[in-house]
Amino acid sequence: MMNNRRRDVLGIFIPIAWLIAAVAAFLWGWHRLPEPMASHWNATGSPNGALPRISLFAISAGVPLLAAIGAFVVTRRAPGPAGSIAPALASTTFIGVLVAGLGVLSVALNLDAPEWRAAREMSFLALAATIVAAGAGSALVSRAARTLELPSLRRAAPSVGLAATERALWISGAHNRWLALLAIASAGIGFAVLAMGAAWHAITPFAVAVLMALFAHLRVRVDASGVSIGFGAWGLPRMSIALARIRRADAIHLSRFSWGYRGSIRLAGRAAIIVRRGEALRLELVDGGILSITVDDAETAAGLINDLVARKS
Amino acid sequence: MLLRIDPASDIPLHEQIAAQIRRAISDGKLSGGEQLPPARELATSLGVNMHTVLRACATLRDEGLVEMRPGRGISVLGKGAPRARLVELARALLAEARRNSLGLRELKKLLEELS
Repeated sequence: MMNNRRRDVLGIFIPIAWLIAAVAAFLWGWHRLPEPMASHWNATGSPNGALPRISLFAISAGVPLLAAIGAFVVTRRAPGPAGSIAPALASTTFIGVLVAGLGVLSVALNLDAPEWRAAREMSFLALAATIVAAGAGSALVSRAARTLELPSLRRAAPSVGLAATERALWISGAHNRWLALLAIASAGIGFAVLAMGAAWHAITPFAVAVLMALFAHLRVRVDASGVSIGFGAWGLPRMSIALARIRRADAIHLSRFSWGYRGSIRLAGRAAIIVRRGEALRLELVDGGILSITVDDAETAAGLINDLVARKS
Repeated sequence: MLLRIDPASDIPLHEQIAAQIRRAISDGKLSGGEQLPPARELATSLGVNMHTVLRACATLRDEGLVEMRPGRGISVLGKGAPRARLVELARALLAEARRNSLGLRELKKLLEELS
């Protein structure tokens, strides 16, 4: 319960506070601001740039709004290990508070000025205070998020109801006929180039053929040791993920554009092996990483993995 | 395909493995031409002796469901699904007959009368 309230404070109430500060400052001072208003000050503190009020308002409220949405999404994300969202929350808070603070500062300096050049001078102290406030807010939020464990917002983990004495093995795969055809075509081009006597130029089509062939077929196996993935028609090379590294498994659906990609990809702690769209197995790792693998009958695989993980722990 | 065996059950392990693979074939989870992992791998994954797996595969081969070739592993035969279903039904029929103390000759006679 405490955890939930802290999540709401970090993901909703604090972002709303900086958002209100930015919007309220402009709404309150709107008619007392020059048009355009001073938006930039030089090193000595004199105003040296201006923007239409509406533009400065859009920036001062828009950026904090995006940061607020970011903070909300981060706290509503799939559950991860305690503190896994602290860095993301720290940066959204820093940006949100800083830009909102600068907006409030701009309104204060422009207030009642007949035109932008007559705006008050930027005080170094005020600027430093805004930056320090953003830094301190970010540090506080990061500290509060360090022990925050996110509750599961998804359905219960799938299971195949494995009995305590039972042993099980699951085998399946994924195939992409188009990639297989492309591999054959590339190999054909390679042989044609070879026949023309340009051996060196045949390397590229052959390399493409090998790559396509690797991702045209996938074999996936789940047993008590973990998950093993074999590439290509011969299941080689092979990649293994030990059961001890897996926290939870789910069956998901990858759309055509989920990664916009066929092959193996790793991006920001998430990795995927995709040979086609559709059914996929999503593994949540103990270290916070996520690996998705396109494979048929993923629901059964996820159920078996969860049962095996539960048995081990 | 999900293969699950229970060493605590009264049914011998090789029969359990054969029944699971047969069920996978009849359900269409394993289709004609598909290769099973090598017996050694199946045995390691299931934590059983390799001979237990080979015995299960020999049963399936005798039933005309799979083909075993040295060095090429175990592959599912073309018309596996309908045949696997028939074998399953035939085995169920035999088991039922045995429970009712019906001999093989009487069972044959019954089938002839029905056809």
